[in-house]
Amino acid sequence: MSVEGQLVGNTAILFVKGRFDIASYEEFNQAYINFIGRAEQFQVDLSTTTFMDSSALGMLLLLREKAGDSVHIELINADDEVSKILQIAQFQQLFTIR
Amino acid sequence: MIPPFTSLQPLSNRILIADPSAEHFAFYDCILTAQGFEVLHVDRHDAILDAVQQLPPSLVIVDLAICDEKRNDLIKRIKQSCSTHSAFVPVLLASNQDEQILLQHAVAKEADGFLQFPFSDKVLMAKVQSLLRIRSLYVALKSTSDQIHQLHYTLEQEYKDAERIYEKFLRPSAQKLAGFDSYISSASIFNGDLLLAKVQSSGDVLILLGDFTGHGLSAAIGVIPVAEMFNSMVTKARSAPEIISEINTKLYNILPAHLFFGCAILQVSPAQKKAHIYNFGMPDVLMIKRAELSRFSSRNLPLGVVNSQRLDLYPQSVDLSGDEVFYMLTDGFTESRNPQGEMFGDHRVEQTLLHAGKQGIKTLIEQVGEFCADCFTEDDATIAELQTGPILNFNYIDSFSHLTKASRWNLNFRFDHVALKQMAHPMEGLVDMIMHVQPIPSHKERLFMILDELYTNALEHGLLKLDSSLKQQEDGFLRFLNERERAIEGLNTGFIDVQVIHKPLGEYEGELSIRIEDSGEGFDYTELDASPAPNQFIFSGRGVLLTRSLCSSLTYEGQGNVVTAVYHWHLRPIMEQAAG
Repeated sequence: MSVEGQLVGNTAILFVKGRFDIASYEEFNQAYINFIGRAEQFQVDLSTTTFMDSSALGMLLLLREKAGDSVHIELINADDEVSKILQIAQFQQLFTIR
Repeated sequence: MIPPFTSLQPLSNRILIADPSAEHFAFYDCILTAQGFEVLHVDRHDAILDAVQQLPPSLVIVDLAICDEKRNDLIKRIKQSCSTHSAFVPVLLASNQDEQILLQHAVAKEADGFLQFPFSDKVLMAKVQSLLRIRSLYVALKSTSDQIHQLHYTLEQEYKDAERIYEKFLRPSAQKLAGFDSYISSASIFNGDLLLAKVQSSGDVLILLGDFTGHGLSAAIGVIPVAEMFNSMVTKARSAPEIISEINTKLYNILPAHLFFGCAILQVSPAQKKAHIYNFGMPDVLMIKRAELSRFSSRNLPLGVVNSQRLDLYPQSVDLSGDEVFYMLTDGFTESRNPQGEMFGDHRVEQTLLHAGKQGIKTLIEQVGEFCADCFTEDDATIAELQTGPILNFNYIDSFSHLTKASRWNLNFRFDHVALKQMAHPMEGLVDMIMHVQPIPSHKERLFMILDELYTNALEHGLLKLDSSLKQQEDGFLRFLNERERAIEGLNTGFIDVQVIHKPLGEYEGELSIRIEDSGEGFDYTELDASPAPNQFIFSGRGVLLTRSLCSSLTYEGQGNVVTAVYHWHLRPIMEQAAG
């Protein structure tokens, strides 16, 4: 598991590779914390995420809170399994999922 | 009991020399004392162990000459004697025999090192210091490991205590219910799984299955307030949306952003012959009826994430005929993996339950266990099964012993202008109080509507003199609300009296007479009594019509500042319906 963050223009992109769970807590937070206040929108790229649990959902909520309401956050490229989890949690109410 | 925890004494710099030769000792003493060590001497074999116990050394040098020729266990016994004081005392074996013999003995006697005479002071110091370094390393390690053991033990004790508290909280809710069965894996208790089942006095069965984010203590801690809220609100006959909204508000306020509570509530109402399903971020609630499967998916964010106003509290409802079986599950079943890493998955869960007949829970546990080759018990998994048949056919006459018989009572309340300013919904508390004295839960909502409508009228029109026709204009509602707020702000006199008189009409039947009087000027109610055409009351006046439709009578008196509503209740219809 690893998280990489990069700033492209005014968009912060976070790539989450492998298992996205409580073990990623520190790394995920580190990956976005420097972009808070700098990025106008966030994209969390889940294309290489193999698994996601409720702790991961919690981390996304933390990002949601830290970024503030005015910041747009997209969760992109989730596979079927990960999409199912996002759908059960009804995260489309808080994030743009595509 | 606390396990033996060897609190290690600070390392001494004492060295014991066990050597029959006084010359040898003089040599050791000279070098080691110069280096700051305290040097002790024993010259007899049988005095060694006593010496070790009386003044525990950090290191022992044993000469081969003092050892019993027939026995090899002297060094082992020295170490054992020391073990009550210290974790590890190194022993050096010294001799003037040739190297081969010394080496043999050192190995056989399990010495930590050896010294062959003659040797220089530098060699002696090098050996002594190297062994003392190993000793201090060992002591540090041992102390850390002891601390970990101690902490682990404490944690286990705390878990046991917590488990007792859990039991206390969860047991009252684990009411024995006909048609209800469940399985809670042992690992799930402290991973934030929560299953509660309770019958309301209306006969409705409420089952809550929830799952806090993450694992361990942080997940488990939220379980207690949720259980408490659920139990007390079900007892007070609050509706499922009220319960959910209250739990959500509480969790939203106390949980940090990354923690939340997935929660599904199943309500089975024998009176309505309906089931209502609320799903907030839980896996599909499943219903099997005549070999067909229906799913009730999550339609909301889990609880504790957003403000309660943003939750959709409308249930998914289904008519019941008594041959349905409901299953509620946490994700532990679906997410169980086999040794190849493949998940058990939703499809297998559904197919297993669909074909399991009456043994749903048992079969599912077996199938998942087989699938992932015994790793299943590690997961937290909870499942609840509810057959609607026994609930719909439950004989409520039996439960009538729990109902309170109609009694004679009355209550009077005066709200002065200070109270009126401070209380947003005083009628809620009043209805709760009535439910406490005369529990008639199936009438609660109607009673609240009557009281609240009449109270609101008394306040808005009697005391605040607001004009409802405002509401018919464009943006009228907003202006009405602003006016209302301003009027309440300026209120500095007046009162509203609420009087409720209850008289019994039978064992489970009674009549409530609700009289509300305000200190305002009243209004001309003759117009209202002349049964106005409803279309005049599109945005206002509906309150009175609605209230009138709920009551057996509604009459205004005096100047129109006094209103009396009569409400009739009896619990017999539910009993007959259930018995039939």
